[in-house]
Amino acid sequence: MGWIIFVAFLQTATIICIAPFIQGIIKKTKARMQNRIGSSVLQPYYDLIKFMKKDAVLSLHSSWLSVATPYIVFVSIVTAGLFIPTYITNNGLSFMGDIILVVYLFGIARFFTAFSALDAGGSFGGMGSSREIALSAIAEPALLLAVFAVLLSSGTTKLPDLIASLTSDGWSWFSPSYGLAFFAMLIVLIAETGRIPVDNPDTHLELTMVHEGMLLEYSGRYLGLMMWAAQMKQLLLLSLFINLFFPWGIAASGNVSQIVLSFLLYVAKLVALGMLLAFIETMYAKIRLFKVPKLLGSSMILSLMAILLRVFE
Amino acid sequence: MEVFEIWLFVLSLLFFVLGAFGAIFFSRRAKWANFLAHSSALIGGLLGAAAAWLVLSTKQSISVTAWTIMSDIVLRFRVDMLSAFFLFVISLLTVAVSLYSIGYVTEYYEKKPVGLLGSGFNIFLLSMVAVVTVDNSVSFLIAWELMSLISFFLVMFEHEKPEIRKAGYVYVVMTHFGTVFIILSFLTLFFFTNRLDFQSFTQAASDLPTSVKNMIFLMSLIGFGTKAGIIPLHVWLPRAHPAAPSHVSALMSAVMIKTAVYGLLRVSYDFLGDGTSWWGAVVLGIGVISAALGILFGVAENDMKRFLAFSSAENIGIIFMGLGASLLFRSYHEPLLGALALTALLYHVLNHAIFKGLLFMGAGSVLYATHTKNINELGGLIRQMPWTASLFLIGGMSLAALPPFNGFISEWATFQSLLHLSFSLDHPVWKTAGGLAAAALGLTGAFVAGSVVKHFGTAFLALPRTPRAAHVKEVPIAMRLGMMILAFGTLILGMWPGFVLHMTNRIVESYFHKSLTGRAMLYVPFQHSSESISLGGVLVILLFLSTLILISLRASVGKSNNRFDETWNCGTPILPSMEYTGTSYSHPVLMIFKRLYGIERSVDVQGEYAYYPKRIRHRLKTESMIESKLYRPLIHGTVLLSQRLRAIQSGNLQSYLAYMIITLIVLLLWIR
Repeated sequence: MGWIIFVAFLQTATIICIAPFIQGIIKKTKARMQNRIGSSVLQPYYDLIKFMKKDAVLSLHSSWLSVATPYIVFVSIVTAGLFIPTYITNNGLSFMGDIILVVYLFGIARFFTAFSALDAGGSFGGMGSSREIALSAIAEPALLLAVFAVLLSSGTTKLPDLIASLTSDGWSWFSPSYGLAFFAMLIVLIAETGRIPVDNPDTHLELTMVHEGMLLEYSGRYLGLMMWAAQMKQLLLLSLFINLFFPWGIAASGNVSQIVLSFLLYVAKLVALGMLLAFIETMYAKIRLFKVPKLLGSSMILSLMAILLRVFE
Repeated sequence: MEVFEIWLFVLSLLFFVLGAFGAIFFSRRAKWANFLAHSSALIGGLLGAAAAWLVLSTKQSISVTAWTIMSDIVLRFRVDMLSAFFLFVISLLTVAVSLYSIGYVTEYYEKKPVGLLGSGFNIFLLSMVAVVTVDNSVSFLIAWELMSLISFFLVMFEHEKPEIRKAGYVYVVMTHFGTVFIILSFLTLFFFTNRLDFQSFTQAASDLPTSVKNMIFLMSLIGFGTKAGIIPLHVWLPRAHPAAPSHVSALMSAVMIKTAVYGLLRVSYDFLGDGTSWWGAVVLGIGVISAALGILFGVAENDMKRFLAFSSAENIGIIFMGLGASLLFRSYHEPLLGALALTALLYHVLNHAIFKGLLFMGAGSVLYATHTKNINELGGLIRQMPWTASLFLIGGMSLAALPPFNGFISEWATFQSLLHLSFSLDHPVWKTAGGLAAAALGLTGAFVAGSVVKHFGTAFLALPRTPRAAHVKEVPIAMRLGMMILAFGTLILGMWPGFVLHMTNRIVESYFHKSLTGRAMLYVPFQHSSESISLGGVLVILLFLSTLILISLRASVGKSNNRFDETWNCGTPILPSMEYTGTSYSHPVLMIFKRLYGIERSVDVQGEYAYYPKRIRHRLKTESMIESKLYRPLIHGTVLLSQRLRAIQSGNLQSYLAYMIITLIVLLLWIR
């Protein structure tokens, strides 16, 4: 019991603490690729600290939901983090939930963010919220299908069991279905983290924005919590991706040196994947809103092909 | 001991009868009629729930013979495990809805005959209880017909409005279309077994030839499916449910459509025994279509009650997914997985009853306070109606299957059943189909969340769009209490699956000889691994982390200094007309799936110059493909056929006599 609590705390602390760092890495890489120097890798930390200290301005027309939402979003994302393996396969909590729970915990965050966007009554919020709902409704089955294409090999929805079976089976990259699932998941990853070509995390007040449009009425501590939560969600999706496709080196037991090694590997993998995302983001332009379903549709087709290949293998 | 349960059950029926007569008797005094009708329904519900719970706890079926009409036609109530579960669902909803009605019906004082409404309400309850408890096909059909007719009258309660009359007629036609098929399937059973009571069906029907079984199954699927509101037989559902008074629509959506699930379970599990695997595939396919299309049509709606009705079609789809999976597992002899899928479907029956009842009552409260169901005329209700808003939000979260509420846990079990179709069945078709069905369920879940955001956000948040939304009062305490019971239920059933498993395991054991375990968590023990979920644990984590974050923020940087100011609107003051409306909210979804909706859109710009319009009129009309492509030709065909047939209706007495003689001759030749 003590071990479970310790590992759970360790995982929570890791997720909360390194999420801004990964955001910093992505921003820095993007800046360098655009021939800018860019802000420091630690800038997201400074931003968050600044936001926490600032006063907040709330809309006159908003209700208690606007104040409650940042906390609900933050907490539900951290909770989802407890059910996604990061650098320790099993933290002992997997009896409480699985990948379906994770998807629906992300769902809570999205649900309340979409509410808070409508709460102030501005059109920008409504626009962002309405788009988020339309796109996420298509991203969710795409995510489930892509994960399912990998789950099919292990026959369980529990992520620790899945990762364990993936690591014990060793290098399965020669299987074409795995490769297809990889690309399917990559598309979903970009869509769910709200990056180009699906959404642009850097714009404000453009007609293209989705996630930022919903945060428009937020300021001070509430904005800080919402941004932090978005960074953590990004980190968690990256972790899920990493552990579904590159689980090597993840610590299975409670050996301290193994955990330290696994942690270092995990951070290295995160940094590499973050750079890949930044690369994709620099290479592509944002696509039109109504083209996004087609992109996600292609992800679903890839997953479906992966499943069919696995089934008829 | 059994006598005690029989007494409870009979007393509960008697209370419904008392409510029905009492309300008529006091129909001159609306207040008395209201109070008498609904309080006796409430007591009846409590007694019925107690009886059902005791039956399930003691595992002893009870039966009462009320009236032996003929040797084979008996009005007998028999509460076995399956009946008891559905009796429990009906009774639980009865308690909450009756309490709510005491407040809601005050709306009709001095406008409408409250006595008749109260009486109809009680007869409706009585007929539903009868449908799930009688054990003879003739009395079942009588109860079924009574339920259909009385609900038709209740739908027509505000018959002075033309759209309600139209809704009522669509309902009565569709429900009888379904009844025809139910009668046909019972007649086929009678033809092959020569008996009319359910127990003989159970004993004899499993030995029937496969082709006959298939026929019976398909007919009962169409018959009960119509009542359940599966797509494409759902057309009555989004018309009739919004038309009925809200407390009746709560019952119709939460419970009445579940009697169809009961009927289908009775036929497919009790009577027919083992079936072929395509039954499950058909039901699963119907489930996927109903769930995905149901909510896609629902997203486009701006009428709160119409949206909830479409969402009922969607939830019936989820229930059918569970049913399909369980039938498939049964035909492949996978008892544990079959038990999981059957539990998932029964759990969802109970959960859907609870949260849909809550949501319909919430929509009814909005209607009561503002006299409109159109969300584009509402807004900002959360300030004047905080209770209704919070309760509606709880119902909405549960509908969207968000943890820690009960909707999630049955959807999780359905997910598991679907995924294990591919994990455990060794057949390429099921392996692929399971994953696709799970993805469809994911799509459904995301759209449900979206439409809840749309309806709650537009109606309850931001600025009031019309004066009628600006000056509202919170609804009476009785209505709030009724909703609170169910809101509490959504939380408890999410936290404590053991409570539901206690009931469903009795049913599951009798068909699969396996059961699921768990008190605070739902646990599926497989041979090598296991699947489990514990929302109580998740809630503990959520609460713990919230406290931790609040405290640590308070300790490190202090309390947040909040100022209140106008919403940012590019420097101009914000007006309610600038808010996003329900129509604009769902517009992206409409555009993405425009092939499904059949959108008619017209923009009419008035003014001298197109770039400086004086007035813009935007009209968006959606008509589902099902109605324009399936029903329209059917109706045209029927009308055409009847016009042709009119030729023989000459009105000439001689020709009618000739018809009779010809018929007589044909009949004589037939039986010769």
